[in-house]
Amino acid sequence: MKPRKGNPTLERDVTHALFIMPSLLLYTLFSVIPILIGVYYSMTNWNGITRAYKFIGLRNYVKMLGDARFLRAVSFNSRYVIMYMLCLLVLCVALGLLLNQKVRWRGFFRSAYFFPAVIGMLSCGLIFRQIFGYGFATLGDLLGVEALKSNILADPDLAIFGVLFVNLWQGLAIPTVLILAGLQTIPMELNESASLDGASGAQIFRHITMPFLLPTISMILVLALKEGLMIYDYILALTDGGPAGRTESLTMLIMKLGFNEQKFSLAIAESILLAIVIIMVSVVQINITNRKKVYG
Amino acid sequence: MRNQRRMRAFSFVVLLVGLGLIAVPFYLTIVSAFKTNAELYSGFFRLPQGLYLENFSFIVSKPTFWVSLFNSVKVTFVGLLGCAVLLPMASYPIARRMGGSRVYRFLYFFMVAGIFVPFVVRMMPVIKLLNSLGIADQRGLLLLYLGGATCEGVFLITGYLASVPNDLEEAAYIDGASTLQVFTRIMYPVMQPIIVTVLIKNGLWFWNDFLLPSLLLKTPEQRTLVLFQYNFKGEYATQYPLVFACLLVAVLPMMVFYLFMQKHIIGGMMAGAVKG
Repeated sequence: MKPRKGNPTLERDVTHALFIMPSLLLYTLFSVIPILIGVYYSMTNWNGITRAYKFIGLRNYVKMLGDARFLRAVSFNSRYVIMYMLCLLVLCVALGLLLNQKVRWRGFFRSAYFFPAVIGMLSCGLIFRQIFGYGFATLGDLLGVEALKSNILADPDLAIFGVLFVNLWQGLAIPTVLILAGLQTIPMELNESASLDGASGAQIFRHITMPFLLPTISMILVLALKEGLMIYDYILALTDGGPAGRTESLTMLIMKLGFNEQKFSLAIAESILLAIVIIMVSVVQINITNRKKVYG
Repeated sequence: MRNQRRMRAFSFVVLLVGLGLIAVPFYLTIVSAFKTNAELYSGFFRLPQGLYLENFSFIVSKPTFWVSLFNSVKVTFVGLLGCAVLLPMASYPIARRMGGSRVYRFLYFFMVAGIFVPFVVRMMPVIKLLNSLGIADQRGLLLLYLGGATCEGVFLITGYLASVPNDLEEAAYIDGASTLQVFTRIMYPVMQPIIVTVLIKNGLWFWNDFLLPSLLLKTPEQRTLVLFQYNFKGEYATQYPLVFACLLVAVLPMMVFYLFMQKHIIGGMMAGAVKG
């Protein structure tokens, strides 16, 4: 390990520092500093345009907790994220198990099921908006089914399920591949010896498959939480927050407040609260799965 | 054994149904794109009666389509080039030195911590920042992409390098190679599998992103393909076949790319999953 001649360690130190510098600068300048600026602005009453503003402490944070529109977005978004995470988890584990079996056309199925991931969220949302808006109505007419005739996205109570369906349709692809990758870390012998010992499929799943999948599941849930709480593209493409604001997500509300309605500092305060929630839930979630992994 | 075979047949049927769910929207998009308005109204699920190409020629005749296609290619390409150079460069020293140095360990946690911070929290300040720097356009967009790709990139590449022994490098150092030489000649090829993973993930993000371009690219000359289709949809909302054709044209590059690269893409995602 000792350098042979001259002073290569200095050379190495300098090169390493130069290597890290560009990424570190970009990250600090465009990711870290904006957060700090945001925290400061969230305690002012700046509207984003005028020069003059004053420091108002935590008043924005108090204000939003009494704001009906914000609370409606919180309610929509928390219902949405819970449904999304549950459905995603069940479906991606099921699909992963199915695709891990030696079924016919396995390679083709794997490619096909991943395909939605390469299409953008916006394109996907727009395609489904077209289909929901037009396709289902004609299908309903054709079959004479009353429930199909109306556009699900225009129904105040059902629109959330329309968005959920589209999100899952596309959002399942990557978690399924992650589960597949997780399943392949399970040693074959383990499964085989368990079934030789007379373990049932359910027992194998519970005592062998699940413990191996836990780290993957934990990662999938952390990503799904972030994705579900930040949902924007689909909503913009599918419902634009409607009908009557019933599907207005937090990110969409923040965008509207900050960029269209000149409530810059309030919008930032809301985004900071959202970030704190996401970070806290993620940390709790990772802790829980880590503990299970140790004892499991 | 018979049980297992029945199980497999069942799985096959379930997968087939799922396949149908995935395929139907594409089928509808494709057939609708080849229809006239009247044809669409007479049967949404039916195959088109002939190859009606007017929808496509209308879109292709728009100069803004080609401009936005070019912009998407440009932004994605430059962004990925930046990722391919900067992220391995930053990750290599961190991976090799965080074991023995507090500074590098701090740098690792500092640069990876951002994974948990959602983008909305820095969205508005960063747009203001780019505005005041006078680069609220494609240049700013690329800087945001590179800054945003850092966390996951460093996380994945450092994780990968942890399992790569350093005998090769040590041998090269003893032979008198410089750090730069070791990086470019030895380590970069070694890191290649995980770099592919990082590039695929970021490539999908850059190409398909809507949020950032919608905030930064305000003129038609600057817009990417995703923005083009969003505006097109707004402009021709009532002409369903035309909109379907536009959506089809917009996702076509990705479809073709996936057709040829699917093995690499899925393999890359799985490699990243196991390392992460």
